[in-house]
Amino acid sequence: MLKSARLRGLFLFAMSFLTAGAPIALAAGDAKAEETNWTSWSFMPENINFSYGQKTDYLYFVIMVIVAIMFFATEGCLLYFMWKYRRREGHKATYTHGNNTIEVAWTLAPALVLIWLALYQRDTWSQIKMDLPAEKDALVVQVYPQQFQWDFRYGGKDGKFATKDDVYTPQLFVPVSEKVVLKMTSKDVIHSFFVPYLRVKQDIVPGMLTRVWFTADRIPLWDLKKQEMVFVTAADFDTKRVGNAKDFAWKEEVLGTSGRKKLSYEAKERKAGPAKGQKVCELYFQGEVQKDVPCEQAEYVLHRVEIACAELCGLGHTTMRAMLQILPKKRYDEVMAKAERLAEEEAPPAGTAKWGKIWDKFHADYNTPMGAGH
Amino acid sequence: MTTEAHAPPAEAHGGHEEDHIHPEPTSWFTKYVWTYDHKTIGKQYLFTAFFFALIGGMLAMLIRWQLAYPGQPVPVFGSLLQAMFFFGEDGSITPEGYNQMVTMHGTIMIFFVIIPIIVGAFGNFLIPLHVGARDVAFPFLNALSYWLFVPAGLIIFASFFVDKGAAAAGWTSYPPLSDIAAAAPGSGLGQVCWLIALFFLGFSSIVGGLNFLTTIITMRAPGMTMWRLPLVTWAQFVTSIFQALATPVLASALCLQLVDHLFNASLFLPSGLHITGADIPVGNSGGGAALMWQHIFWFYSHPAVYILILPGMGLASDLISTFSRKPIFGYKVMVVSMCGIIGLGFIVWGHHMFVSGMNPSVGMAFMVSTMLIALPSGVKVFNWLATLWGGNIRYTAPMLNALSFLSMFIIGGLSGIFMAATPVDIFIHDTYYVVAHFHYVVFGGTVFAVFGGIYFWAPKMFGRMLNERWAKIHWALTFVGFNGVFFPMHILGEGGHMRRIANPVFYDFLQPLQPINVFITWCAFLLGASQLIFLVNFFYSIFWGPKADPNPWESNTLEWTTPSPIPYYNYERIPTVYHGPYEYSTGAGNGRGDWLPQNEPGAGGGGAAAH
Repeated sequence: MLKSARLRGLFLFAMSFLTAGAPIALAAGDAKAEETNWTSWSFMPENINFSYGQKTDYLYFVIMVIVAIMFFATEGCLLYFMWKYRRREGHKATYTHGNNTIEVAWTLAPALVLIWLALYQRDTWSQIKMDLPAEKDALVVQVYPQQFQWDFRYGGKDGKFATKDDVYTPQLFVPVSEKVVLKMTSKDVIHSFFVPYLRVKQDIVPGMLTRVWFTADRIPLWDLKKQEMVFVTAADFDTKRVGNAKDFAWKEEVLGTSGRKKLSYEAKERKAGPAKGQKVCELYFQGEVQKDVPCEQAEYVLHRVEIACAELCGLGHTTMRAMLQILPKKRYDEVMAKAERLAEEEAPPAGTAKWGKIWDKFHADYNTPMGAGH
Repeated sequence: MTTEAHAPPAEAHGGHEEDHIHPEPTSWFTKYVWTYDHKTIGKQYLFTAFFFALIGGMLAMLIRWQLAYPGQPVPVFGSLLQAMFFFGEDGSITPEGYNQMVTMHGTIMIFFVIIPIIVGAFGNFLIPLHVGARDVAFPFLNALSYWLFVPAGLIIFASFFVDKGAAAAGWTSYPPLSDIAAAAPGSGLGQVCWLIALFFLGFSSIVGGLNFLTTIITMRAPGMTMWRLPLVTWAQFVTSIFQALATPVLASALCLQLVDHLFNASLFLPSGLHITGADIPVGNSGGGAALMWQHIFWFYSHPAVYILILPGMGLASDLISTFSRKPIFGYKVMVVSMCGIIGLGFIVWGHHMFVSGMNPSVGMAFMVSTMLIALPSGVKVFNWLATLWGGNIRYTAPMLNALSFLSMFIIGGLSGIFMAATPVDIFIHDTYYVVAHFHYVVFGGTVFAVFGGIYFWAPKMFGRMLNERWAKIHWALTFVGFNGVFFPMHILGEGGHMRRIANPVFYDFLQPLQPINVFITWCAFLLGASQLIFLVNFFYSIFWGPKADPNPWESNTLEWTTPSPIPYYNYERIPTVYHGPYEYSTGAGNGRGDWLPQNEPGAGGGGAAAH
């Protein structure tokens, strides 16, 4: 009895050791973490934050492997024991109160794995939360959400906040592959800044400054042929014929009772100007902008991704959404230069511009640029 | 084993109880309403919790309807419930109504269903029986505990009908949303009701916890050492420590928020708050800290998660051992791991706040403690599996539910590891991943254990057997329905589907996930409908089911040595205990089969872990 128990203990220890070995082997894959799409097998949205998003996904993958091993081992044992030791006439259960060797083994082995995991993820966590770039080296945007809308403020030409050239937008515009630091506080209740494609989520608490950083390394385009979103690199962007979204109508066609929508862009007719009544668009191709090109020439439309509020914030919580526009650097600069015109086109909600006064009154210290770190 | 394990101990615990038996109450009022009998109080908790489970369950069905068919009028009930605040003119659910539903579903299920059943009903019924006593230490406080719970229930129920409806800021009630009447429809009188109700409930919990602790420590029968207690009672002991130490912290949090509501104290409101549309500062706001609530609330509410699951672990341990016909594997390790859960349970609250804006270094510390708390739960799982190993497993309805507890708890525990990993938590925080995780623990774990426990102890509670065939059908449908509902929620969470949004198809990136929402909803209807089988079986059987033998499951613990149903005084003579609770298949050959009651001397191993 004792002998077989010892054997069982050894067997279990070996099994546990294998479990512990798996993450160590996986850690070797760490070197390539940034080149691989680690969540292609999952339902996670595509990851376009290459500064640390790949590491988040890699960690998810590693934990999934460990968890899968544990899951199949334990549930497998359960099903096997349920079958093997089902009640049979004349059969007698084994009388035992336990075995200390086994207890030690199956306490130590998972403890090692868990501690390894805790240590392993430290670097990723500090990269995300503690090693923020110095604000002078990054694009800084202030975010001031309220029930139930998002507002953004850029420093403008002088890069300083609370000056006359500040730019207010209802959408977030960022240049591709550039470090962005968001400085956020809330006007009323707690909101949460969530962009699934960037693996970014951060609560925004009134009376507190919370900061996040990221890089958006892919440009979202809408493939007009397939009518779906694709992500391209800045280099690829120049090889595509990309229409400006303002010349296309965004269609949401509800399919059936569940409310699921078929999403598409459709060329729309100009309402005014020389090309009135024609389906023409502004087209980006090979770094150039062409005006009034027939819409059929566009293969893609410059698209955006969604910013959601992830913290329950009141009755309009569900529809509290803003758009994140990820633009090629050149286009971004043009947009910022034309910020006033843009604000007109996008028709910011009344009162948007006034929020700067409230922010500057209560949170003037948040306007000062901060150094690296958290 | 030492000889001490078999000999009746020299010193008798709780000796004074042995001397006399109180006369049974004669009037209807003292027998069924203001009763001191722990068994009746347990049943009172059980039936009250059933009532609230119906409400909480209905809310879940309405939530699911809205998520699968957003904005569509609710069939049948929509027109019936139109008068209530949260329905639109056409019988559809409004966004503010949806917020109230998720808030009240969470509140009711946690505070008015699970805790009352798992602690109130099972704790009350089993603890005195398991320690071999005639009642709890303080019968008056026990009655008081239930009668503090009743007004809490009435207030929370009434809050649906107050001006602007029930609380709508989530069961976590984060200020400022919950703290300012103008911030959300339910944050006025509805929230005040919520706070007062939970305050009553907190008191009920504290009183109950202290009572159980005292009972277990002082009233054990002769020979019933701590190491001979059934694990259900150990679990209640550990849970009671949580209740006695953590609940006062909740009470203080509730008090502070109430002061904010009633006297504009602004304890949780920072300076410079503006409510949309008005662009004027909120009256009297300033100087408070919104995050402080989260710290105080989770300091209680994380241990509360263990209050929900620990007694379930205890129930499952008893059932698995009994029906495997084997002593529980590693009894002492089971106890020590529960104690480990308490110790660590007090220092992991911050893992609810990884993205809250809390200092990231603190987040790292909480990440380590959270990783470690997976350990005792894991060890328990291994011990349950080892208990099955070499067993002679009887597949009764209680056992099927206990095994479901085990397999579902494994999933709930493993998915917790993703959330403990802080970088991954950034993505899955506040998504359906979290919803899946805690339902696997609380429903997949605790509720299956509760069903198992009810099927197991109903013969002792009511003196009649529940119908085994229908119990198994109920189990099978619940198991299928449960997994159909909650497993796909992991997928929703992976897709980034936020919690607490009333309309998933509002977002482009959630469109492909909508068929999953529809699937979940239909599984939820199956799950909801199959509970009717349970209710019919339960209420039919406790009146007209076949009369139960004293020990229908051939179990060892003391309650099975009494007649079914148990007489008012529990034990005619206070039993003497000779060994641990799980002496199955000892091979003692006492002519009884493979079990050995605790009050019978025999060749038992004393219940301690062998070497």
